[in-house]
Amino acid sequence: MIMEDGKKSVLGTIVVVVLVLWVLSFLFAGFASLFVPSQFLVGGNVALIKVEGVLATEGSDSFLGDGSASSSDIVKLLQEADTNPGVVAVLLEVNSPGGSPVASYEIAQAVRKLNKTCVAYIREVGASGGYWVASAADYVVANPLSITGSIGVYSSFLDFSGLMSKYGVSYQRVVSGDFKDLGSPYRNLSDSDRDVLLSKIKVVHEFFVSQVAENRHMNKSVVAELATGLFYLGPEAKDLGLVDVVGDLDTAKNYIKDLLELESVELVEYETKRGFFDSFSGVISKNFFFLGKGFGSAFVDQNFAVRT
Amino acid sequence: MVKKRGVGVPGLKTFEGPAQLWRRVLAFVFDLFVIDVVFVSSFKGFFEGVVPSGFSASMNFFESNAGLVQSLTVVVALIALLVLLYFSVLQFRVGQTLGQYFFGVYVKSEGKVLSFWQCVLSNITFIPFFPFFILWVVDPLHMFFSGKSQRLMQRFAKVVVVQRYVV
Repeated sequence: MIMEDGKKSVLGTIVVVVLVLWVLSFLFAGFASLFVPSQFLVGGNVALIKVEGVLATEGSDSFLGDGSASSSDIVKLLQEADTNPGVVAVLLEVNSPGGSPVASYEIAQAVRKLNKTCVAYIREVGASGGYWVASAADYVVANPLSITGSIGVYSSFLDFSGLMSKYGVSYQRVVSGDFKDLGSPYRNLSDSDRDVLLSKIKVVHEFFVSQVAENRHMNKSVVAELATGLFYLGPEAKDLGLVDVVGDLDTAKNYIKDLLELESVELVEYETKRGFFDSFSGVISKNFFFLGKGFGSAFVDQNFAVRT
Repeated sequence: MVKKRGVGVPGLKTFEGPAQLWRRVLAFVFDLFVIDVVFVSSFKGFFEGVVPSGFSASMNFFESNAGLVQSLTVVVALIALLVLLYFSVLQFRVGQTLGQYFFGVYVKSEGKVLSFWQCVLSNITFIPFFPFFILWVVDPLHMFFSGKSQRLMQRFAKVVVVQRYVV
């Protein structure tokens, strides 16, 4: 009898321990899901990747972001969607006025390399670099009121030289070559400077035009004629051949559904989530960097850049 | 120990000795079943939603999503922790796991009292990371060369798996 009681007590303890560990396993499973981006946890057969904001090669580390779309992040998301066997197509929602030509090129190239159908939906703005990215998709849908096109390249900077002379501040130019401080906001742009900048911009412009022509299977001269920097509304862009159809998100979904003969299109949003510690350490390290760098050196940095 | 069998009937003598191999193997298989049903099933939905089925598909998936491998490493570590706790806590508290209970074997310390850390050390083989996974082969093999049928880590932890024999 005593041995039977002892056995019962052992079995009871075992059951209790197993139950506690069973509950713990559910907690662990929930905790584990925090480490995996949502696109891997939520089902869906079409990846929705948003290209929102000014295109830059690297994004912000902060939680709130800086309104830019990082090409590094977007390229990574495109590759993830491409290798996910559950995803049959990619829907690119473009809402960008453009930005860095390098970032535009990187994203457009990643779109072209996709082994899956890619449809771009220009929601509000798909201008300049934003349009470059959209043009790389197999099919482009534009919202009727969206702004598209604006194919062109520009470069601008503020000229503080007048303001500085007014306050008796002079720019002491010490350079090893005539063009070393090209685009400096503290001196006037000379004619030769302007010619140099224009020649560089033309190269980028030519490249941009050729990429769009290739993506859209259009004649380069036709695209060159449209590449005045002018933006077009959805229906105009459709008439000019810059987009395939005017519509909305459902138009894009229905196109994918019909093309791939799917029963339904379930979108799964691919997004880059930065963990708390990533963001925190990113912000802290940046702050310390700027603290060390000092306001003075930050002030004299050249702010010249080419933008699509 | 002598068990009384009734009036006029000689008592049964019992003693502890190394557990029979078949009992230990079956107890371990039973424990694996418990672990699969109770613990791993909690993560099944998680894995099915993340990793595609099929060896080549999953290999391709991991090659393309290197960042995810780190996340899954955390998941595997959590499961390993649960397994380690299952064996260690039960052996520390009652001397046997559920499988060992049903197959009548239990763990004893070679010294006086079985400590929790002895239990952890003897089961450290379950950690699926370097260098512990080397033990997956060496650890059970040691049983066949040990006088007390101890696994390698049981030898280090100074624990033995025994059963009660009745004469």
